[in-house]
Amino acid sequence: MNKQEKDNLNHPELVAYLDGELERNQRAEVERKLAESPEYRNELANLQRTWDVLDALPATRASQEFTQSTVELVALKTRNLENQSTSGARILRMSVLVILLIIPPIAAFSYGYWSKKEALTAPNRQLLKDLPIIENLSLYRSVSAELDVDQGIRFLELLNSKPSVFLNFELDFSEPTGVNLPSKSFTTNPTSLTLDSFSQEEMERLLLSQREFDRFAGSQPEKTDNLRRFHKILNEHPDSSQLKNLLIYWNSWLKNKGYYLGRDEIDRIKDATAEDRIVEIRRLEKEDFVEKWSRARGGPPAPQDVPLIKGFAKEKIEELSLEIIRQLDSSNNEQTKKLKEEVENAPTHHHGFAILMRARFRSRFPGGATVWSTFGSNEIEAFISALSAESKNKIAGLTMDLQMDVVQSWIVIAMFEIDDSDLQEFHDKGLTGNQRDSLKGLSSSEQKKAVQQAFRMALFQDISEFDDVSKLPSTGRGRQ
Amino acid sequence: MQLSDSVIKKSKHYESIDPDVRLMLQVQSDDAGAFEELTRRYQNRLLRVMEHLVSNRDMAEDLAQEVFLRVFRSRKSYIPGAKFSTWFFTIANNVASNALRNRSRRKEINLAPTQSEDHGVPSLETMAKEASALMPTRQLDQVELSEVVQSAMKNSLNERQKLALLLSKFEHMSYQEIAETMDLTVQAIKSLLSRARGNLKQALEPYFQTGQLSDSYRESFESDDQQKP
Repeated sequence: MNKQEKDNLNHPELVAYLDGELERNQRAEVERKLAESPEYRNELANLQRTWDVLDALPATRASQEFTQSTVELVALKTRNLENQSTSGARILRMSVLVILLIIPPIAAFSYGYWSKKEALTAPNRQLLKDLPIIENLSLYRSVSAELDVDQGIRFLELLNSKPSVFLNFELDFSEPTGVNLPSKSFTTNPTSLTLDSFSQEEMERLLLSQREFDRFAGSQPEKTDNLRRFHKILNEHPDSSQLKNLLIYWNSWLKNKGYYLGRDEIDRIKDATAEDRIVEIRRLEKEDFVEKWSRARGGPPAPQDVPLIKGFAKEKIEELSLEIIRQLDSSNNEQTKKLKEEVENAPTHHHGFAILMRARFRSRFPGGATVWSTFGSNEIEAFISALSAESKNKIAGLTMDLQMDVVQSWIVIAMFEIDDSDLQEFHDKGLTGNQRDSLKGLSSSEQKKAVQQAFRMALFQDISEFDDVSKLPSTGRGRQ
Repeated sequence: MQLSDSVIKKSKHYESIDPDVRLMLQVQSDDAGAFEELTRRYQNRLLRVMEHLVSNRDMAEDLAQEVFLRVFRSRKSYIPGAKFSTWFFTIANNVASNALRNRSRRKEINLAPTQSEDHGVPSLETMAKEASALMPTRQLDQVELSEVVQSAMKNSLNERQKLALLLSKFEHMSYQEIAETMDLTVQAIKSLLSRARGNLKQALEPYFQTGQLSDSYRESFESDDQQKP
């Protein structure tokens, strides 16, 4: 045990006590100490808490295919055994049972497997070439690349040019879905690999994937050709890494939505043109947003607390932005320098924050995932105690968790509340001369409406191309 | 093979109390359906352990399949000398230990920009929560805590500590059962678990107090991120 670990462990017997693994006399001794020492009780409580938070670890679920491919793998190996074993009668029976279980594909595959196995000793160029496609098959299929390469690429390019499409920048008070997003990674193009560098197990897994690939392509070899072409274009694209990230994201999004939309609906979205898919994403995201928003708005705080809440929210945005910028300072690359400049030049803190969040989304700065754990429960509790009696009454009787839910909704609503000073700031710094000119001649309420619309739109995209801000297209986003 | 009376007695005992032992005995009798059922019963539990040990979902699935394969191959020599899960996770421990030794053979690169190696792009939920500035409500706590705990485990525990902890927490194994699974003494398990929980407590303490992890852990997460292409 090193020094650090000793320091971490003031009372090692407490762990065994919590686990019910102490002898009776040892247990009595611990209980005596607990009765006497607050410090000892505190240590026990901390260990118990550490134990309890392990419940927060996500539950792992095997995919639908996992069971089947496991049984198939065992069937394959069993055949292998059967050939090597001299006492093979019963094993053969098991193999036959297992094989029967997974017919129809296994028989055909077994033949393919053995014939391919023969070829393993020599480099199989096509297999190597197809390896990244095989491994990324589900990702590529998520944009129907096998049917239409150009639509697939175009869709990713559209997403790349409109990062706000997915960015539900507003509230999320939904109940935990319990849905585990599938993990997925790209594989490198293994130009330097040879099949010899794979272990037998890896090779078998690869062959299973390849069989899946072959079965998928079926009698339509053009599907395979399309996938190869899609793969090539994707990898040679100037924005290749962004497009790949978006593809992973899109695939996760689809699967997440698939849990409640159903397969037909997902297929319909996948089969739509690139432009229509964007429309669909916006529609579904907006529906989500509206639902969440209506849930969050349960009841407003007392009017006299609004300035306090808004001040707190603004402070938090700035704190968070500073924290992100601090991280950027430690990084020296051109992208982060450019990003920092963009943030510094943003017309309002809202827009600076939006740029940071988009950058976070597109992985343009390091360590982003760590910046968001900046609030503690104590801080919110302190904030609640500063509210007026009227606001406190609105949450009286709720559990602490629910109280914090409600207060959080007030704070976050305030965070994205645009007030006149924000609009003025945006008008002065965020609009071009032409855009400001386009407001002349409008009534003051029309002006305000147009600036509000421009403000919201600018959170998500560059609006400099629109000279007339009174005629901005509807974004379909933002709080209504 | 001749079995002693005590082994037979023990075997009968476990057969009578543990339905998974009975299932495995059906597998021993070449019942393919029983094998599939066993796979279904254990796949999620096994994947959870493997995923925490190797921090990579794909690799965890490969290893889990290897474990099931070994279970199947060992069926003829299987004698119920313990609960089935103890025997099963002994195999899992062996497979994972070998894999971690040979890990450098893997040739995958993960492009996903999250702090944990294998979760791809953050979910909409996570992103919306990040955007909505991270208040400690029940739901946010859930997501945040999950990531914090995963990171704390990854950075403060070695593989043996992780395995002992996971078996204790999620498989509800006694120290004796963990000792059998990991081929260590009960005393060693006691010490291993104490250290594991002490380290984890130390890693999580700043989070409990302030909502933030300590600088050293933050730095290690950040360097995790920066190492990614």
